[in-house]
Amino acid sequence: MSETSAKSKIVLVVEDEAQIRRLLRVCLERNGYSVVEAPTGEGGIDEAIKHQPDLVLLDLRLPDMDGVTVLRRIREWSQVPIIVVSVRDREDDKIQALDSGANDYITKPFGTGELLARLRVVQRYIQQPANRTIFNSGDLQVDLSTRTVKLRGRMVRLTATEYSLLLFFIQHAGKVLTHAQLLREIWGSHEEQKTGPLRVYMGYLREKLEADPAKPRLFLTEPGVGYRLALLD
Amino acid sequence: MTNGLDQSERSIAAAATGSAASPEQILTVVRSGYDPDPVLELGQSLAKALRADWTVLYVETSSPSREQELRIGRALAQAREWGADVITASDRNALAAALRVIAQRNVTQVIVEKAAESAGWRRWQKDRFVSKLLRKHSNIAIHIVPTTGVQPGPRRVTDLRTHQRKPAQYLTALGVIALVTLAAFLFTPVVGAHATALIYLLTIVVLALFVERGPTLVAAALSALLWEFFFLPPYFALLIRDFEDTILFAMYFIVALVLGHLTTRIRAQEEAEREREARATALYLLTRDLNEASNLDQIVQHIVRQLESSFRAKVAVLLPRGEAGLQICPGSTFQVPAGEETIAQWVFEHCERAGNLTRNSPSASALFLPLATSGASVGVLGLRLNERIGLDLHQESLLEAFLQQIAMTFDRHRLNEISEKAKLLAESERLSKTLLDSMSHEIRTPIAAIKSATGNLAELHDGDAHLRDDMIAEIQEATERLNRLVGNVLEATRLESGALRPRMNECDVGELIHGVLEQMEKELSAHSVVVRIQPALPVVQMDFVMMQQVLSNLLSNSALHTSPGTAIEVETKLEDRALLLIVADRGPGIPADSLARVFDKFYRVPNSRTGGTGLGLSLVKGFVEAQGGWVTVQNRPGGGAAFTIRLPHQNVSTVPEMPNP
Repeated sequence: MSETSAKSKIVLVVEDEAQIRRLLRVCLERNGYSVVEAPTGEGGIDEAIKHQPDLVLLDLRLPDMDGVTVLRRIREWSQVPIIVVSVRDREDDKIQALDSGANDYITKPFGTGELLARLRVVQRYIQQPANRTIFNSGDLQVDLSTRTVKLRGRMVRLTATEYSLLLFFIQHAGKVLTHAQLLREIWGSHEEQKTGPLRVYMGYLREKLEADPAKPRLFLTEPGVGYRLALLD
Repeated sequence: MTNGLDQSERSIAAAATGSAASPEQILTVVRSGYDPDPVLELGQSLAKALRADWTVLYVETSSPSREQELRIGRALAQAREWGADVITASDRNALAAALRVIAQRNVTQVIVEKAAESAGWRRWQKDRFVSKLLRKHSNIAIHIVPTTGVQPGPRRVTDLRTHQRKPAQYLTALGVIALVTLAAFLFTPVVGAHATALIYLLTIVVLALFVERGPTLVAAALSALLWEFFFLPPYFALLIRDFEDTILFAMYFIVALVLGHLTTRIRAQEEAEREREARATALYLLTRDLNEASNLDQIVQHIVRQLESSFRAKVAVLLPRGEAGLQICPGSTFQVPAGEETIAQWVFEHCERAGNLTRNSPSASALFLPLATSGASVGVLGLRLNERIGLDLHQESLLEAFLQQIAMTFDRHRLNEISEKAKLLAESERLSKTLLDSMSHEIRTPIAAIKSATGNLAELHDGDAHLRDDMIAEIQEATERLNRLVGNVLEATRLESGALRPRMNECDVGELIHGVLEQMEKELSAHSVVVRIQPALPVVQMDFVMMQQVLSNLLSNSALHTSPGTAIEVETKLEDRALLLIVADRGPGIPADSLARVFDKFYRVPNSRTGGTGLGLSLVKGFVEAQGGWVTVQNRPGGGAAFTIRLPHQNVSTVPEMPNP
């Protein structure tokens, strides 16, 4: 299904384990991506400059430098979507990578299907035109020009804070937003431990916009890390 | 006087309605020769009521007796306990000292004592002190406290003091004057009476250097009279005929008195100076020693030594030791009696003195002093003084300085320990995180490979045989790696738990090498292996299975990290007490800063090829050491790394070493 849209997309794989590189190449090429490999951090940065990839898969443990450093260096000049692929599964590591500019985070070992799904989400995110006015995901429709929110065609009233939270999610649809990022953006708060107001407002949004607030399909929780607005067909 | 009392009333009224906005500064002036308690008590209650800062100035206007010194010392120590800043000035001029402190501390209220009515000329002096103070600072409230006169007045004390040492000194003075007078009979006819007067003056000055003021003044008066009697006409009569001689006599009398007075005063100041210097030196020595001391035992040792010599006392240092409470430090020169430990504990908790010479449990055998910095107790110092009468003023201020210095030292020591602990903790946290990180990498990478390969296989609909074979090969490789890792982890665990005991047998090294090379034929196929085994090697004690693993770990390490086609050399050498087994390659070698760490668990040389388990070399080290040997690594001249295993052998071989090919 995604093969048509993924055609000729270049994926840069920055990964020190040769076997993982080989397997990723097989998996990605079979799904229509073309693959560029780099075994080190420096090499990864060089290849990113040389090939201008459409996507980057980045390991955090590299022989010459930390993956987060590579992430920051690439982010200095490029907004290319970067998915971190790492064995580190602690929230702290995820938060650090996401706060440093990663678009998503997958822990090893990962299923091929999961990886491809994440790639598609990130791609949809880049494919969205910058100046579009209508956002769609599942039953949710938001007209950004008139600030109207519709659920299954019916108008939904949101408070100013709820709307600005929703808007921030739409601007980064599909991407995991950490607690710190959300608190900073909406409340201007730097106290990252105080996630109280954020949880309350996420509750309001789910109450108003989810079919079943107890089983959210739109506003997904990344445990210990943050939230993500799912891009549903 | 009336004026002064008015001031006092006004200030109390002001205090009653006063706001906390302008903090009061109270100064209590204590002069030697007066009862210090009433002024200090008023100062304390006033400072407490006004929540004011309180300074006590002690001015030594006359030389106090030993008894008086002790009394004032106790009173000032009490004032310190009450929270006063105690300043000691040895100015003779109380007013100048008071004015200096008033200016420095922005004092708003002054408390002074008033002499008993009977002390006539003293009262005149006192009034001058107060009125001069008022003239300089009309905006200061002055409280005047009448002394009860119970204490011996200053003049009596001075008299007492001179009486004690006097008889000998008076005799000396009289003797010297008599000698000079006898001599004067010989030379006066030659030089004249006026020159004789000068000789008398010289005698007085010299005399003043050795005796107290009293004998000096007596000698001065006596010499004046003798001079007049014997050498001024009319001779042998206390009559002066000439007006000129009258003036001379009067002048001589005055000059002699003043000279005598001045000289003794200089001497007293000099003595005070010497004492001050001795105290400063003692404090300096303690400070220096404490700064140089590197551990707690040394600190305690220096404290005990310095306090013993300065106060002629036995010393005990008590410091808090976690749950155990206050513990006496080794090096203390007396043991705190069982009943007095609670006193020490009380002192520690309340930051107040207790025990001997204090109001709190004065019957105790020792004086317990709090060691505190900015309100927090760091320990307790016990002093068992040889003289039970206590400490005089100067000892008291020296002790105070010592206590502060000691408390600061212990506090610094405590903080150092805390930061050292925190550093260690951070380091061990960092290490365990690194270890965990490596471990999860090593385990999850092959699992990720297997999962990815099976995922690809599952999507395989079209029967692409080539891809299927590739994926199966990937799974096999990953499984191998995982299996090797699990095996190594198990071995490492066994090694660490001590469950792994080498079974030492007499083994042949040649057999070992060939056996391992045979097993690893496939793995080493890309490299050319050069083997050099010396003939007639001695039989060495080793665990054959362990050594097989050691050798194979070293060989696969070399194979993994060097380019195909390069040589791997296996070599044996014989040293006096050890057999050397060397595995050398022609790879990139090991960076100098990693040489010491390649045997660490999960350590990876930066920028090195991956695929190893990160445990191989640490196992080599563990196995070799379990057998009583050791392993080293060097970079070879011309490139590559060489791992050398030394296994000890008892029977020194007589086989001559082969020259290196």
